[in-house]
Amino acid sequence: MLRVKNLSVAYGNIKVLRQVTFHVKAGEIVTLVGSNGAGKSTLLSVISGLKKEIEGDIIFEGNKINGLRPDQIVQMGIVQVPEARQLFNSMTVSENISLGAYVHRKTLSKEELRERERRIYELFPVLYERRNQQAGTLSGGEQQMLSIARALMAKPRLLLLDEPSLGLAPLVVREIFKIIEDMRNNGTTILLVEQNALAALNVSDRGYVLESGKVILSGDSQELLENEEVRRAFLGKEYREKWER
Amino acid sequence: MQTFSSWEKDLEGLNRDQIRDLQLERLQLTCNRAYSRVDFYRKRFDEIGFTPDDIKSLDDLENIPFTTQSDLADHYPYGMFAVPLKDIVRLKYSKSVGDSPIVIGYTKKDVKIWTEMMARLMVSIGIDKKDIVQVAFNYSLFTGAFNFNAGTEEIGATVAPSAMVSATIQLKIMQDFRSTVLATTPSFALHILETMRTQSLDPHLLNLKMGIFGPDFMTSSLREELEEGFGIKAYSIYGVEELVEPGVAGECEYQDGLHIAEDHFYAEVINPATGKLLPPGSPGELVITTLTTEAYPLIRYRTGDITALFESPCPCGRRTIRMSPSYRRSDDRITVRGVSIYPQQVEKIIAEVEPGIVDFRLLVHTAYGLGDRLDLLIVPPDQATEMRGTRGQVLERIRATLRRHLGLGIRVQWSTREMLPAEGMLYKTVIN
Repeated sequence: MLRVKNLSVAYGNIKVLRQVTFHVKAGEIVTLVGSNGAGKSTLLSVISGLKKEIEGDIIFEGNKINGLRPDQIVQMGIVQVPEARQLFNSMTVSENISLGAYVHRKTLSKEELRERERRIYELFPVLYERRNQQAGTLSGGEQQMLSIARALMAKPRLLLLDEPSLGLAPLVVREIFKIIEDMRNNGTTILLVEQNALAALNVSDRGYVLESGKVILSGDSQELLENEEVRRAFLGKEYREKWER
Repeated sequence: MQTFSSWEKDLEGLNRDQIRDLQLERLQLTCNRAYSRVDFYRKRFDEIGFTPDDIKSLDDLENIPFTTQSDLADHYPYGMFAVPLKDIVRLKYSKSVGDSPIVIGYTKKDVKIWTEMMARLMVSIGIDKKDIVQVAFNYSLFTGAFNFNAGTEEIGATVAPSAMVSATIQLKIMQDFRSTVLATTPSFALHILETMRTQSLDPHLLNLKMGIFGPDFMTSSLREELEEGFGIKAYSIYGVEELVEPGVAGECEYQDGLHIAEDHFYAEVINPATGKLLPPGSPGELVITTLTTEAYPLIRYRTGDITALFESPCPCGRRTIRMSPSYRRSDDRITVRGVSIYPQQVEKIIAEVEPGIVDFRLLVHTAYGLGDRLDLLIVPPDQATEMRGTRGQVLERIRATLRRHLGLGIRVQWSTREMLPAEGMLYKTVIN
């Protein structure tokens, strides 16, 4: 479904991504794991068209999409849930949600919009309860849900999730990841970027590990969870020990 | 639609472009890992001003120097490992042409992948739950034997390990257990066949339906002999001692070349003399790059095996590249009854045991193209007093030392310069 080939990105002289190649198959949840500054968020903004000065190819369903405007990319079915939510805080929950379908405003009928809203409230009953509340007054977890709900309004075929667990309590994190699994079961393909490797790998099918802008490991999520290197680097089970030889 | 029986459908059903895309993804990852985890590769890349970023397509691999067996031996024991020792779950000892041996490590994931590769090969030739696989490999240092066991169990078939037992007992197990698959070396299979004939055992009393034979390749006459003798189909498999053995490639039911596990290995064929890449179809030395190996990544490893690669579609439906059976080496390695020997090793041992020996020849007796017996002819110095003992003692010492070092009984005989056979194509002795 999505193929990123030889992607290199630099901010000025600093290369943040180096020859990154990976793919996401339809129906999969794929996680990109990496520590702070590994280039994960940059990667997502490249795919969604926010960062344009790149080398390499982004191919979505057989079409090259680099160079397209972000709204064109959304129209093709790739929607990003940004890091730290970025909601319209002074607008109500329901207003935030309807804005999610903004790029499709000319093509969608009122009934279709209402139907989408209905399904989203089904997935997030708590948002329905608070639909007339200002977004800024929601709790962190609710805001994250709203951010995802807004993205779902555009009916993405590929959803890009940037650190959905950021700043949330463990219990809420579990709930968010439950929602992510539900979305996949409803047919949405998901590319997930997370520092919380354990939670992310537990819900995903495959993963790639980024280290200073390069892919250094890949495999089934279960394999990566068991991988000693991943455990040392991200799961905190063991402190990094000295090279033993 | 796929028509072949397959263990890992989504990997085996890929077309050429998809295979190459997957290979590029994994090649870049391998180079990144090798560069950041293995000092040897970092140094080598830095020397030629190459960074892993320079790999934009599979063809860019051509710019990287080869990894040779002596590179591996030079970094014995753990210098080529890309993970700390505590992540390693298996170690494998391997001989090399030089002074030092080689040790290869495998992580848990490496072992798992290896098992999957075996399972895939077995399923591709039609082995399933109902089969009983008799694994008659000599385990000693051949960790591949473990993998026959693991692969068999992985697909739910039954494994009957029968290492190091005589052909007579093999035949008894074969009859009593009703083994359907025999996995062993072609030479031992031949020996079992001969034993069966000596005992006038009717092959129809056996349930055997196929054999998986390696690591040596069968010549077509040997394949015919085994297939007719046992009433089976005989399949070849291929491995590289320094990577995984077996599992790198294997025949499908069409027995027309061996499918390389291209999701785990990238294969090239080069001219062994110039190192230049050869086009598909031309015979040359096989060069392998690992794509998924965690512990012991190898980039452009020269296997020493002469083969040719074919990209044409196989009637079985798989689009993986196929290699032709390899009957020759680009180096001097010879194989006798499954034991690989470098003449250089023999030369060194002789020089240590008895420096007075002026010349020697190794004679390989073959049966159906396989090394069956090894004779060593040695020439004494002109003055018998220059030796450390009587001729009988020297002979015995050389024989015993070789046996200890090579793990193979060799017949050693005295000869004279005049009687030595002309130097063969394999190895030329230079002793001053």
